[in-house]
Amino acid sequence: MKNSEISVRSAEIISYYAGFVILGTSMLMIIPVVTAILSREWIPMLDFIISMGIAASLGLIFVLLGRRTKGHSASVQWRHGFAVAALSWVMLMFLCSIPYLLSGHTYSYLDACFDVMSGFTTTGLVLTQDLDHLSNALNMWRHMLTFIGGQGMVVLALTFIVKESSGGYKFYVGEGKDIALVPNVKGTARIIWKISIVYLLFGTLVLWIAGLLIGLNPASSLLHAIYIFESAWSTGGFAPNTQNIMYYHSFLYEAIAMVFFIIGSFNFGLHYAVWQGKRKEFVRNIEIQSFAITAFLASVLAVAALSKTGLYPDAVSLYRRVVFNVLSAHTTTGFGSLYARQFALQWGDGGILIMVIAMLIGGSACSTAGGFKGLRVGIVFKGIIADVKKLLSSERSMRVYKFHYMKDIVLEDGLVRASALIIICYMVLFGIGTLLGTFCGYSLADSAFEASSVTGNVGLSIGVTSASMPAVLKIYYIFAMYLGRLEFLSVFALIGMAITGVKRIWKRKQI
Amino acid sequence: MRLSKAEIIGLLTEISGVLIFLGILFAVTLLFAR
Repeated sequence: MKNSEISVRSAEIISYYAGFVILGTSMLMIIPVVTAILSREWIPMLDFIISMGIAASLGLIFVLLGRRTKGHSASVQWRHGFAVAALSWVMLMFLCSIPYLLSGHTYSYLDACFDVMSGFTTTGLVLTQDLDHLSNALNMWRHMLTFIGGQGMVVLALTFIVKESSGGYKFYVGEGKDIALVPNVKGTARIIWKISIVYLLFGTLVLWIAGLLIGLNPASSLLHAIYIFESAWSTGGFAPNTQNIMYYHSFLYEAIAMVFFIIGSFNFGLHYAVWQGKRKEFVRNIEIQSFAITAFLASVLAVAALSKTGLYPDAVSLYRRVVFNVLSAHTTTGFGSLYARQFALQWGDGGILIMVIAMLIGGSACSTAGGFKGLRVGIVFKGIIADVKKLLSSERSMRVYKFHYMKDIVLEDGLVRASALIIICYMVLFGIGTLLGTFCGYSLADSAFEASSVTGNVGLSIGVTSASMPAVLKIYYIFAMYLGRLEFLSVFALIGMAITGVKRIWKRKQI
Repeated sequence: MRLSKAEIIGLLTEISGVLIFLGILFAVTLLFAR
């Protein structure tokens, strides 16, 4: 096959699967349409019907352009899986932001795109205006996006729409979820969704009761319970009101949210193992150990630093304002029990530094959380320990180092190197974001806080993110959220394929 | 969608594990608040 034919074939494969992802997501707009009908919100209903029409038409065009792929899923290669994931996320950002724009709650299309990418990537930063008067339909859509984004949109669409699944695992990896719970990729998707749906039902019920106890009416309490659970489970951080979790004025509500966002930040593989009866995994797993140590240290250091200031006079207020925010940052959730500027004005440089480190570390791999993940931190840490031990031991000794992650795994140099490389990529992204923030006139602490929030897909803000911030910063933050969520490889693969395609066309023209 | 006994125990294990962790953090916070 000639080079040009390979390029066309690849483009068709990518177009075919990306088309199905777009089609699948357009179908999901039925839920906000139904919400609008039940809430008698006729204009938002029309907004969603228009958006659904545009998205479905484009998805259909993409599928038709790649129709030769039908029945040849075996020809899907790794690069296609990566490119489909990366391209679908960009396309969906543009399409899913149409209802935001039509609602009139965003100043520009860029702001709408920012909010959608923030939702998909489970970040939780918001540029939408007047959240307190948003329609139920748009609120449902915002929280749905973050819930679906957390589980993986490409995987959801392809496992339930496309019949043939031999290339499915490549899409999983492309979307940053290198996970195979069972040999069958559809089976893995079903397990992920079963765990999420069981928790959704259970969490919504608990939050609904808590809502009733704090005085919300039954219908409102149910909607708030759905929204807050979806945000907590997907470590998203969106809330239906401007004041975020502070709106509820309830320790109980915050404590329930904490439980679910911590569980949401765990690896789906861990959930599956524990649900299968392997309960020791909950203690032995390197990611849980890594999370428990770093979250404990970060919380205690922050509590120790802020207890001296006298800002929080008792244990309950220290817990609600300090531990809650540190854990929200560490699990990359982004629920805030403080106003943005309070971090800058009250927490001081020490408090901000703890938050930045917690946000960059993040949750577990193959979970809904962001950051460079506890698994990689654990592997690199164990790698350093192993290297030191090797230096100190006899030159003749041959010792194999292992770590526990679902099973005992040999700590190979390649694994440590791969983990360290991804951590370096995150740090570069964070560094550029901080630098850009300072160029735009923000202080170093503010720039670093916000850059770590977007890089780690957290969603806490120190006040930089607003509709009035420079467009260049909005675009960079969109890019950082996207790269951070897909863990670089997919985006690099898409860019690489695009450059290769352009080069081939250029060469053909010269001939 | 049915849950087996092992799955229910698994779910409760996760929730109780997190509650214990949060409880420990609350105990530490109490120490500092004094």
